[in-house]
Amino acid sequence: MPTLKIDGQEVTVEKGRTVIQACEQLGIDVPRYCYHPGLRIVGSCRMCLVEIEKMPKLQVACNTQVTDNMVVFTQSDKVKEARRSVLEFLLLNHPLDCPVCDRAGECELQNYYLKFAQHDSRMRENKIKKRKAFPIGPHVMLDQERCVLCSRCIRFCDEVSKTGELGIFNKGTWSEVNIYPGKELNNNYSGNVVDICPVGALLDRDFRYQMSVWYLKEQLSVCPGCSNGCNIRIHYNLDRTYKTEGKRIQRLKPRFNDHVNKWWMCDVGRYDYRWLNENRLTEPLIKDAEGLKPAEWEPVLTSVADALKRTLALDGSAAAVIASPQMTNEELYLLRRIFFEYLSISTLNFVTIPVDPAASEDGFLLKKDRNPNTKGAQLILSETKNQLVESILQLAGDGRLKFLYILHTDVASFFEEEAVRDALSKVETVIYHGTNLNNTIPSATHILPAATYAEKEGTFTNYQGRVQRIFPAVAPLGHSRTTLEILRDLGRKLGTDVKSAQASEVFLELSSKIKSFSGMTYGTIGLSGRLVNEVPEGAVAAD
Amino acid sequence: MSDTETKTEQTDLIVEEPSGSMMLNMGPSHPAMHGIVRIILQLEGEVVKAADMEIGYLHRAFEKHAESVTYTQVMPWTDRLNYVSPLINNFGYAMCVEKIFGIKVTERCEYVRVIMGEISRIVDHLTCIGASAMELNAFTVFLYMMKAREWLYELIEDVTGARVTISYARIGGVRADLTPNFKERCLHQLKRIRETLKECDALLTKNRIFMDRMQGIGIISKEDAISYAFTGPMLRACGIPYDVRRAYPYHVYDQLDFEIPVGENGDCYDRYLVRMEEMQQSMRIIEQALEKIPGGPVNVDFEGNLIIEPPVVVDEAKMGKIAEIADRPVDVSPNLEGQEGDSYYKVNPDLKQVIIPPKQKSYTSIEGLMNHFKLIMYGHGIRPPKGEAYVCVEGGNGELGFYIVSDGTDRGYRIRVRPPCYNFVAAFPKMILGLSIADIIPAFGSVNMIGGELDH
Repeated sequence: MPTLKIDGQEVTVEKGRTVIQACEQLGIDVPRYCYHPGLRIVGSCRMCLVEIEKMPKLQVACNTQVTDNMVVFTQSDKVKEARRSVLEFLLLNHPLDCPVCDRAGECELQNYYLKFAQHDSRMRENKIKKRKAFPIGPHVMLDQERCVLCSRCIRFCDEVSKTGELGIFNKGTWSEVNIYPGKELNNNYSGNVVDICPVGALLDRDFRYQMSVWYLKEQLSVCPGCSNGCNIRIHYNLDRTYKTEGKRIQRLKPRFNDHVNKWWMCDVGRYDYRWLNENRLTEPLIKDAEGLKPAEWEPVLTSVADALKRTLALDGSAAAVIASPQMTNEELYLLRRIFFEYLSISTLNFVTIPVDPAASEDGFLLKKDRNPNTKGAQLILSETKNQLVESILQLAGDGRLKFLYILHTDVASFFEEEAVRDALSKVETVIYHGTNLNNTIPSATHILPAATYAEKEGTFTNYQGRVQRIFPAVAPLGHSRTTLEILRDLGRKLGTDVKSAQASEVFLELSSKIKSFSGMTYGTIGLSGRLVNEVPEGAVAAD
Repeated sequence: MSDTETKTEQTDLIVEEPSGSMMLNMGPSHPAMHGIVRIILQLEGEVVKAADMEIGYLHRAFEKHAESVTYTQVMPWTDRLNYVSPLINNFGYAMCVEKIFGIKVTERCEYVRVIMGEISRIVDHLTCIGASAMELNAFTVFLYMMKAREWLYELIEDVTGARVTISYARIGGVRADLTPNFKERCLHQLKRIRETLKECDALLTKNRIFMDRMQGIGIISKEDAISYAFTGPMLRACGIPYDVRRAYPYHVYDQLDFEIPVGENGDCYDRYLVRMEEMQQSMRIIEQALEKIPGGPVNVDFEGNLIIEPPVVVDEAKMGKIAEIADRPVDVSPNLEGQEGDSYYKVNPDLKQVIIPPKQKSYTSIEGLMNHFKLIMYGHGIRPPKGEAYVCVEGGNGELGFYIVSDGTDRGYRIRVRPPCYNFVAAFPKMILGLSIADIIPAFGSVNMIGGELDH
């Protein structure tokens, strides 16, 4: 373990680490463009130059291994001058694009200019023109003039997505990043090149010209797109409604988690956020002779509770619940408590969304199971007498069900639509509890609008058994409520003693009851998640 | 009070015994309660036996608001503290942030601030005396003084672009340089103001009625004034020559020759005299400053080049053709007067972490453009180092102080303002004790309470 001195502070780092990593350990900000911890080191941008004693020239911090008794200076005059010069070179041909550039506000050129350079322009020649703003794939735009040739995107395509679509062409000042002829940047991880681009050269076509980034607010979350549970940041805006026209969630960005997704996320998850803004159920509906009518929460919930009580009084087996692995652990637990433990409804099951087996898994992040909480549902609902959803629908079709409570599952789309509709039409009370309009809705008699994962607190258990927290970014849309609140109110009407709809309190109860979760609290889960106690066979446990 | 209550129990009508005391509300909505303030008076006949002040009617949570926005965005709100002399508030706030940064503004900027600040002080005193005189029925004086104030407002408007809500100061400088013919115009207006003041002096100073209404009214002793932390003309009227410009000289006040007028009795009449003389001294300061004001450094030499039209500049720069425009004088836009490099650098230092670059730079170079963006973008902004600073300036009413604690982010952790008239209002009940109701009016006029800064 070599010990070295950086700016007068001593630090001991692991053998084989580089100077830039040692600086990070001390919290010293060394500017960098080409260095990215997830990619191979090239040392091409020269921005991270530092002065090392007994070395005649400045060294790149990203590609210099630490040795014992090394003495490093990151703030000496020589270093400052070098950084200024590097940035001056990088800006020579940089276009005057800040006002029209989507990166303004999170651009490392802007940040480093004010922090490290602050020089005046000495350029007295016309700027070199390159190709501007052309699409290189379904999700990415390239602007060659803005590029600083750090080659992060090229290394990403070579090493992480292993598709190799990008390269640097031409020489000297005419060098430019471009796509190989006849190729298209359309792999499932193309969005990541936008994240790692330190300047405005690669931009997200989906987010382009939607909103200046400094208006965005951030909340941490977990992607619900598949059972991998990539850590994400939700970027949203609520105060510029005249621009956004109801689009509250603006974009999703990956968040570093060493155990799950490192720095990356897939395009399937990244661009699957529109349903948070569009086609939402915003008020409770109840069916009368003329169809579905808006109603207040109170009468709708009372009606649901009355229908269930009526059904159970006649025949205990005439009621069924279809849960979903889209729900959080807390919601599944509350469901189990009310319907299984208190009302003893045995026909309680969840359905996993079947996906096209051809285009499902890619061996990296995206998993075949497109539900965030299948493992959690298995653990929490393991003791219920599982009946297949098909058999529940069979019961309905046979006219043996009078009450069916469907949560977050568009059964009509997963199975044969006509058959499902026929089956549901034979059930007296069909409650659909969910977030968006779908094919099951016309068959339902009661609609309970619920909050999406961006609007509630809770935990998902990913395929490894890692329990990870989500946080509410925005308030539930319209009159919709979080599932926990709906279940609490419904449970009270049915006579249970559900005390709280607070996710943290429900989770405490859950961890005391369900063995796999015992000992966990929101505090111990933290931001990077925690594995459940017994990892069932077949799951891959990361360290 | 108790005997009044027993009376009312006996009869429905509130009948006051001639010798009994009476409670009277003066304000909050009353023509003589400058701004909005409420004086609760306990009277015996017409004599004030006790009084209490109720403030807060113009409370806009300046301090808390200021802590919720960036350092630059606070500037317009300082306009609205003492809205009669907003320039001084501006400069005081800017100086405080500059102190945390450790910034020294250019010498020319210091002179500009002194000149504009003194103009503001004259405006403040003109308003105070004029309004007081009007309340004593000397309407002519009021109109004369408002006319004179108008001349000064025109000067202010020329330089800052607005009359009252000027937001002229910038952290590290001012918005723009003085206008080219400012000196001539200013000297001309000062000459006219001297004449006006002479007329007003003739109308008021030896006027028997005015003297009777003002002399011996609203007296506060030296000791009380100090214990109430009085500053400004109110303190100097008691005979204590404390003036921030002399005690803690800022900008270039130590290089300028001026006197600090003091009174003797601490009554309304002395305050009037002090203010009248201060205006004369302010004019002296302005004249000296206009003589001494230096040219200041100009970074780029523009000689022998044609000025380029604004639309052309923007188009050429967008296309990357900076070779033609890099060193040439650029006409930015008629709406951004004073933002051209040569005049901008006269009054603003070249400090990129604080001062936005002149418009021609942000239009013609990526460095300037990024600099501009970094200082303007929400959540980026200027970021003083961690620390705290107190800065006081001599406002129209006295020591105007700003205290800022910075935690290194783009907005203040704590911003506190010390408004001078807060202390006067606290002592006001003492000043009117034993006076008649009619005397409250000149006494309150001489306090020159400004609701905007009082209710900070």
